[in-house]
Amino acid sequence: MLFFLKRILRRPVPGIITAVCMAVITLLICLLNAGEAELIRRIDETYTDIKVECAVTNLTGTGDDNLNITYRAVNLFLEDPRYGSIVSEVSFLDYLENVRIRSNCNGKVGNETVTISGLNDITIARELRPEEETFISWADGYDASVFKGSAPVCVVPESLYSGEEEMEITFVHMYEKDRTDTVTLRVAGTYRGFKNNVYCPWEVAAEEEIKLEGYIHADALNAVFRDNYRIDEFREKCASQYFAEVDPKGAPAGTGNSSYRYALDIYDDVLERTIRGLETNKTVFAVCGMLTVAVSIGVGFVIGSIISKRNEKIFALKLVMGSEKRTIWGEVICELALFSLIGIAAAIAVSYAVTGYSPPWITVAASFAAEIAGITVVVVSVLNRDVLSLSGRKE
Amino acid sequence: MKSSHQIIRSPIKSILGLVLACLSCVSLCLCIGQFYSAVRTKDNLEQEFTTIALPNIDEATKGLAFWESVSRTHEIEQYLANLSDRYPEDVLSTENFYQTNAVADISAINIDASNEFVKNEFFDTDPRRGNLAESILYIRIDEIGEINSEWTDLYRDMYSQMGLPEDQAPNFGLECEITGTVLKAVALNGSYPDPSGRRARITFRFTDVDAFESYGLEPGMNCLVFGVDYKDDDRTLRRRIAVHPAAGINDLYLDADWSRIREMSEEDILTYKKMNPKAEELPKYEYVRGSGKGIPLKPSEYDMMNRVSLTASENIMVSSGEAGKETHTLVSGDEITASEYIEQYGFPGLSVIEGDLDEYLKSADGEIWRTWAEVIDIESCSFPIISVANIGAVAQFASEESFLVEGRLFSKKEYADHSRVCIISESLAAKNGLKLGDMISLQFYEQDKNYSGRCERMIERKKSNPLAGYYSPVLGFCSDEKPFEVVGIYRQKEQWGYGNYDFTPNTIFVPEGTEKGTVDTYFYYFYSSIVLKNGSIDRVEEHLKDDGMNGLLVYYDRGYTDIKPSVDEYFKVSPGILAAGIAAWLILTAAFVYMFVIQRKQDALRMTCLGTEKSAVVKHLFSGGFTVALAGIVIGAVLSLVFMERIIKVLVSSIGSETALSPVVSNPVVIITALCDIAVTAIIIYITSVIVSKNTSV
Repeated sequence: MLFFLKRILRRPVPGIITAVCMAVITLLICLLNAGEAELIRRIDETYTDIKVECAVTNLTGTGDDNLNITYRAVNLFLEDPRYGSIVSEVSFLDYLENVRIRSNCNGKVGNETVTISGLNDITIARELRPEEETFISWADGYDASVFKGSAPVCVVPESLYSGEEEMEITFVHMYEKDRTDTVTLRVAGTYRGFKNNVYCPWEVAAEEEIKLEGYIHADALNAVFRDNYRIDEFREKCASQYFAEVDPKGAPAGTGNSSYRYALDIYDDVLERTIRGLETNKTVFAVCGMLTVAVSIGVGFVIGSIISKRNEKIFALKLVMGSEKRTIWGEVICELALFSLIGIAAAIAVSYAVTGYSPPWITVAASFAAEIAGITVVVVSVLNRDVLSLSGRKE
Repeated sequence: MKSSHQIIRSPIKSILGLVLACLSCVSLCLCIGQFYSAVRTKDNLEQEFTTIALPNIDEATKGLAFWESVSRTHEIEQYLANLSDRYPEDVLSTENFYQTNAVADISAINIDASNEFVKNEFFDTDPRRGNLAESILYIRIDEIGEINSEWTDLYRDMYSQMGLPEDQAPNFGLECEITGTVLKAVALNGSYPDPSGRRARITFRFTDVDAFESYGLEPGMNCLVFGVDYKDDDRTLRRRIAVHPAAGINDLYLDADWSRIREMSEEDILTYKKMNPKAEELPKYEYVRGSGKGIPLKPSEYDMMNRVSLTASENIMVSSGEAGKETHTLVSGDEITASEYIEQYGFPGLSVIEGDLDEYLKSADGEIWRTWAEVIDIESCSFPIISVANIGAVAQFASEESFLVEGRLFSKKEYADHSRVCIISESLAAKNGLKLGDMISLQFYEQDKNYSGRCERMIERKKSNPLAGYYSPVLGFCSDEKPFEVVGIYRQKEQWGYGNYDFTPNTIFVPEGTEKGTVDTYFYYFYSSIVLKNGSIDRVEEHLKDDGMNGLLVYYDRGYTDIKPSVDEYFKVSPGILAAGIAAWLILTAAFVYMFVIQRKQDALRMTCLGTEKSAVVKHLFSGGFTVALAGIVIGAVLSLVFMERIIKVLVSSIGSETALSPVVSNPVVIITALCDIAVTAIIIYITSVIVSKNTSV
């Protein structure tokens, strides 16, 4: 053992070259691994950051409003016994949150026929988006959050606003126009625009609808996924059970006899495109990692070649003195393996200090094995030459 | 001494050298390739995500009186127009999207005849059907109504109410209602059901009584009528029933059975009257669905059963509200006489047919009818074409109201080359059986504003839902047929919406400039978006705040802000790999030089001893090493090209479509890298050879 160390110290250059080569390769592997790990972390974050929405649509996916969705379908998203039985075996709300709903009811303000739109979130009403320039003037203390609650308030068109703090709004039965119910709602805001809609919190409208019709309905309905990793599961366990898939050639809602009157469109396009792209880049990292392992074999060849060249005469001398080829090979391998391990250890330490990620042990081991294999091939081929050739005296 | 012999003399070493040079090249190509891929990917990402701002002028003019509001609006528009000059680091440009028109070898979707369940809020016949409502009907007159001036009076009253001089109101002359039976639809958009045999209600407008009498119309006569507002009243009635709250979602839309109509009871009529005290017309009939109450129908609605209607005008002067005028001013400002205008730009109105229709159409008198029958055929396949410099900046795409379901957006190259590619709607693709990669042929034409009777109303309409312009037989086409490849298919969440930025599913997007040289004047621009640098929303809002304009803009970025931190972090890794790769290349190259130059020091010594010149020694050392290196690098470059490209292409194809974040493989990058590798390795080998030869002395 002492002799082994002495020999190493006597001719340190090949060993140092080996250590440096393996350190570089291991560092490359570790960095690629860190890049891949970072990417996985970012993919996770992207899954969390991107809000994926799903919406009930017509069968072609080209309309998500004015759908007249039945209470059964609506209650899949609300799961509220007040609005009817809950038919789904698997809870939609395990997968979804921020359910946004809109229902339009017949109504009257004085003698003026209006549409009363119950909303639980102002963003579900496209016509109220800022770029549509339907500007709402909110009364003191009110803002768009009024729709999220159940306060008896309303937003009315300026043309219908009488200036009073409260207005009597009459809900009219869907087709039996003599059945009505009048409620007094506080005016939370007025808007400019050509529509003749009165907007109120969805819960207020739903209560009136139940009173008049006996059940609720919705004209638009959408929600956001709680966990984007479970979108496929939701598709399989929930969406496919109660809704059709969007089909551009599908019979439009209301014209066919299909039991699926509506489709559920999941707007995961941006998520899919972003994640797929990142996943592919992640694979590129993995491919580069594999190539680096291949490079290790080459490095093994080179190191083996350098060592053999420098030691040909020593090998010849040892063979003449009766050493077995196996023993000589073992000595060379042990020497280079030691330096390789030193290089690997140094690279791992540097990589860990810089990136904070533990190395890919299997890949590092594979790289080490590949290097040793490369050295073995070269050294064995050299040892198989005859002694005279090795000693340089053949000619 | 031939330097190349040394390669053959020690084959194992040479093979090892080859492997070494090959690996160094692969290592360099991979690390530079991945860095290039990351840079391009980031670039693509910036392209895929477009951040836009849309003005919310109403917010900024709240509480202002009308004229103050107008003045403020103008001020704001000026401010927004200069925003990119003011803050060029954050506001990239203001994109205006222009429309032109083209006829394609596919059919347009006619909303008015579509099977889609459309709750039409404002109109019985949808204005978004545009020029698809032009038609020529051959009818038999059953009854001729009283002559009146209802339409002209309506305009006069309107002007009077607005305080404008009544004599400036458009004059549509007189009109009478002609009812009859449709014998044949000579020209009609193919989406409408054949109206033959149905009742026809023709509103015929003419200059004066003399003009009307010159036609000598009598019940029993056959005549041809042309109009731009064909209405399938029967279908409209079915739609009204279908969207009636009492109908709910059901199959009545297509299958309404008119035998289910019955007279309403007096009691029900009284109840209706009580509930609708302002109703001008009371229902008399009801459509009964099974048991329970029916859907009330007024007599005017009842009359719509099995009926189509159309407005025909004596000539273009009448249809454009200039009845009785002696001159007409063209768009160019030139004034021409009414008779010249009618002769040049006239379209048919009503012609009595005494003999066989086909023979009449073949005759010289029938020429104008033939021409306009062709126009109607052309318009059945006409589309609004929106040319875009960045489709992601179209408000509907930026706000994710419209999104790609197949294919891709236009590439930078396609924008730059004005390539003949297009993006169409999923509905249009489904209607015409189109898929990605299919070619559609587009032939462009311009709107002829001199046809005031046909297009003025379109020009006045608000700037959403662009429709194909009316085809002008005077102007004709302004380009040959050109094939366009379908590269993307979009879906709209609400494809028949009424929003400020909506467009119909007939809209075809092409890269800006594609139609350059064929379309001289754009109709006008429809949409306008302020394009911001991705991730600059907060800064822009701060700028607006500083300028006292906060809240003026609404922003859309398709979630770029959400994913930006993740993506930025990802791109930080790439330079690290580049550095490590270059380090690996340096080490491998150093090892190569050691083996093939430094280790040959003994050869150099022997050569020097034998009196060889230094330059020959250098040449020997260089050529021996470089030959092996060159071979190895070439093999490495080929491997990099094949290996990297194959693997990544397989990965990308397994994904199904290219994404913004897909790695970009570029053969030129690999080739350039390999060439650089060859050059740098040659320099290193040469310098080392020189050093070795210099350090060799006898």
